Amino acid sequence: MKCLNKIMHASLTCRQVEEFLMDYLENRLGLWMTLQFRVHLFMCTTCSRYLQEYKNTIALEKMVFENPDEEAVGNVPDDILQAILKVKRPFS
Amino acid sequence: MSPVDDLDASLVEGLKNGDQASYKKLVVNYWEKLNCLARRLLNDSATANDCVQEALIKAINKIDDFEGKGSFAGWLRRIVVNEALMALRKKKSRKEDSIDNLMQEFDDMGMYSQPYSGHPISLDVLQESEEVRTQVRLAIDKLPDTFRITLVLRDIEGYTTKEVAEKMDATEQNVKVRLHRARLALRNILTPVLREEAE
Repeated sequence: MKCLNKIMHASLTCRQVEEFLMDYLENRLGLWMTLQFRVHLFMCTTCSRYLQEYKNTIALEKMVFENPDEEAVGNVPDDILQAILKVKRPFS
Repeated sequence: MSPVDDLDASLVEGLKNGDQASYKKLVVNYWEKLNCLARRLLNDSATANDCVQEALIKAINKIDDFEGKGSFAGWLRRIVVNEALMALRKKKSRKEDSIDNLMQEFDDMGMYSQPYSGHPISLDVLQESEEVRTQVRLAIDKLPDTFRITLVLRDIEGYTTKEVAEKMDATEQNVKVRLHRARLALRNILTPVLREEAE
């Protein structure tokens, strides 16, 4: 248990893990930092779950906008359509 | 395959010739998608309508600038983004809300104040639920302008950090921090809702 605590302390805090989540996912952490990050994730269930939810959040926001047609935008308001139809292009 | 498909190529040609039927086709074909983007950026449907109207008029007037190197839809989206950012700059006078209240709290040791006990919900389950999609949209709408725009441009529109920084007059580091905080806030808004949905 003492040994585990030592490793835990050599690794990052939860606050630091949160701070570097994005860099970790984008492989922008150096080797030593990545190692410390992984040790922390291995030891800390809260952070590993948090990481999973962070990844889920990104996937969900992307997924929602892959189908923008699902949002009810409604038809083009007639005044807008008419305004656009009146556009005179230069030299047209 | 060319980035501009045949339908768009004939539409572009019609616009260049000042053909009214092509103007109408442009509006009918792209209104919905561009309006969704504008609404997401501006968080207001009336301003979004104005923004898309301005963008489409600009697209018609500047159609000769479209070189066909990228997709026509992408070109239109970029015009909408520029118009939306301009609209936001005009209205920006009040101080933006902070999202500190949406961040996790840590104790003095840098550990979570409230370690959480649940299990992450499977992404497959979440993706299938229409309610979840609605909640994600609502959660994005709750973010203050700067965070929401950074998130939409970077994660959804696929702009690079450098491009977002240029568009928003910010440093790349600032954009990275905003994006990260926006994602964290979104995760923290969504998690309780999603847990409820999964139960």
